Amino acid sequence: MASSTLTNRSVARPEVSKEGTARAGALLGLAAVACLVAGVGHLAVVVENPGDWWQYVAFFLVTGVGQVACAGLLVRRPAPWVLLSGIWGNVAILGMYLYTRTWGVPVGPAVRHQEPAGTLDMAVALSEVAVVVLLCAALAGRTRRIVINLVGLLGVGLWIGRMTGLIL
Amino acid sequence: MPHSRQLNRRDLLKLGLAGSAALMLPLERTARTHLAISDRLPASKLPAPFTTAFVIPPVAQPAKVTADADIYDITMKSFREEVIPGYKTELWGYNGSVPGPTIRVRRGRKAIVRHTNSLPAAHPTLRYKPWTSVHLHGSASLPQYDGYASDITNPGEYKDYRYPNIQDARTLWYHDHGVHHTSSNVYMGLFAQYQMSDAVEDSLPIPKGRYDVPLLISDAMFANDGSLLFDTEGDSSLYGDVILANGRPWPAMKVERRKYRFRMLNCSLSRSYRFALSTGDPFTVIATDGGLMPAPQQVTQFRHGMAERYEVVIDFSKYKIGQRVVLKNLSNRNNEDYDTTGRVMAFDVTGDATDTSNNSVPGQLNPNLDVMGLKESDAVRTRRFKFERSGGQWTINDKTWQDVVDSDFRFVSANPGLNDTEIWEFANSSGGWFHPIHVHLVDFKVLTRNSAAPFAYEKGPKDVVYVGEGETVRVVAKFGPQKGKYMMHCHNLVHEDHDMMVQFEVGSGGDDPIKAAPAKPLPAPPL
Repeated sequence: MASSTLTNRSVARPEVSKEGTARAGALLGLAAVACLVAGVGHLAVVVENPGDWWQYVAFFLVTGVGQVACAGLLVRRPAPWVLLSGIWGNVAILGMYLYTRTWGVPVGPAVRHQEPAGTLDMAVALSEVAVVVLLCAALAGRTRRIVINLVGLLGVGLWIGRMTGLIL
Repeated sequence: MPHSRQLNRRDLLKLGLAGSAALMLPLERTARTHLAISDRLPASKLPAPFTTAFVIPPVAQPAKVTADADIYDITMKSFREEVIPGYKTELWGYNGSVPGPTIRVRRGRKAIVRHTNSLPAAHPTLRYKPWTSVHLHGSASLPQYDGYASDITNPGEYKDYRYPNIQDARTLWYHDHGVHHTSSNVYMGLFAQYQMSDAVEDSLPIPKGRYDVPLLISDAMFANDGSLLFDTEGDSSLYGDVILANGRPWPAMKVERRKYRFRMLNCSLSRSYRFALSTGDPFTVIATDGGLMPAPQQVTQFRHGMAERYEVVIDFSKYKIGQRVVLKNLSNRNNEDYDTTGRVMAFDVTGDATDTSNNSVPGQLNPNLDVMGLKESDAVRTRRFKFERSGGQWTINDKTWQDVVDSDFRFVSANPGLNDTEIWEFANSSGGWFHPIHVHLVDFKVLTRNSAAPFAYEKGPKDVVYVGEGETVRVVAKFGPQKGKYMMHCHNLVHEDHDMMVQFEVGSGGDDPIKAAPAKPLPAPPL
């Protein structure tokens, strides 16, 4: 895992300057709020649909709890692995969201059913995009460059996939 | 050097590419889906509720009557009709009528129905060749006359179906069952009632004649040009925003102050209903799929799945002249509802009864039904069937109709002996869907629903049972009187087409459902 190679230079260094400290704190704070919003959004799905297939419920439960936990860690212990986990975890959730809204639900009784994009899930997705952007901004040095390039590559891949019809 | 946490233009572009893909692609997909049905006739163009007149489907007249049989000649054909006022809709109907003509037969007299497929070469929008197979739902027909899905009749062909009419009086219905196109064929209008009467029914003082009313309820959605829109949401279900009663949107029926019998049949592809009267007054349920119940049951609302028949008596004598009673749809879990789907039709009380004969419901209706006398202890075995979606297909015990086809129609999911009594247990443990399960050939008695007693309105002979989300239903049936291969399937016709259908074989040596009496090319010889 990339986090094992990270040094303190990879993330916000509060000792750099007061201005830098404040900005890093603001970025992490905003990311934590966005992550919390996304987590609560997923948990709301569990509350609204407790009778759904258990694997769907488990997915939303794990995702929601994970995002709420991530929000807490971003505030209390913003270690490099927390930031990277926050970025890639939310990218993975966004990937699943994209999959269910284009290819359709991958497993379970609603398999292949293409869920429409609704208000709640758009708000949650927007929050997750915000988490990724804010945490990327909070990274520093080579790690930041690598992460942003990878995320950018993913974006290029998705748009090429759409234009070539690989993504419906 | 202090590190800047501001993103430069290049970084923003990279992150923007990914972020926009995550947000815009789902939105774009949803927008395209909406565009596909954006052609739907807006609610403002639909008729106001209860402004269309209630109609009763025509009654089929036999083309010939012999000593022991009535012979009918029915042609499936395309026609255009004004369903939504101001718009013409292409429909497919038996004898050019939707619903098709009601066939009335007498127990003990055979019927032969020649069904000719004169449908166009292709469906108007889906472009498939409309082969058909006519199933007389509720009849203990021989396998080759049961509407076996793969026993198809192509356009330009005909088939003579022979029906024994040996069961108790009941409301049957005939509808299309052509493999993979059942849902769209029925949606286009290929459904109708078939009523069988007998001496037991005659002896009861229940409403008869013009007070005995067929009521076929379905739903549909219409395009701006008036054509039917067929959107199954990824082969899952079709939910229309227009409720049709006998083919008319939210009609109003004039009634007298007396009792009426309604033979209610849910012809929707995917929608179940929960019927209730706006007054809160009860329905008296007198019959289910297989005919009269042992005793009437009073309920203020009931869940009505696709293909189920519930015959109810409504007593309008308690209402004042001029009063309107609305038949409401309270809906059930897993339906997709619209603002317009909460009502079905209205009854306008217009005058006192002009005929007060046959105006009561006795406490006992048909206590001698064989199927209702079956006990758990009569069963020689129990079989379990699991209904779920798996690998993009709707399956029964992980099998589909394709498995039956791939086996050259040899694979059977059950093989009860002729006249064996068995308990069949239907489980729907996956979330999100309900499945009305239809077992061909037999009537059954519902034993338990989630280990509890069945609903009061289910305490009659059945051939379809509603298996709701998370429900397990046990039924008992005696397998006969015919031998051979018959289908069992979900009566959400979208599920059936994709491919929640299997077959069972009663005994051995029954007639081949495909080869014994195949369709023949036109011209047909005289009847």
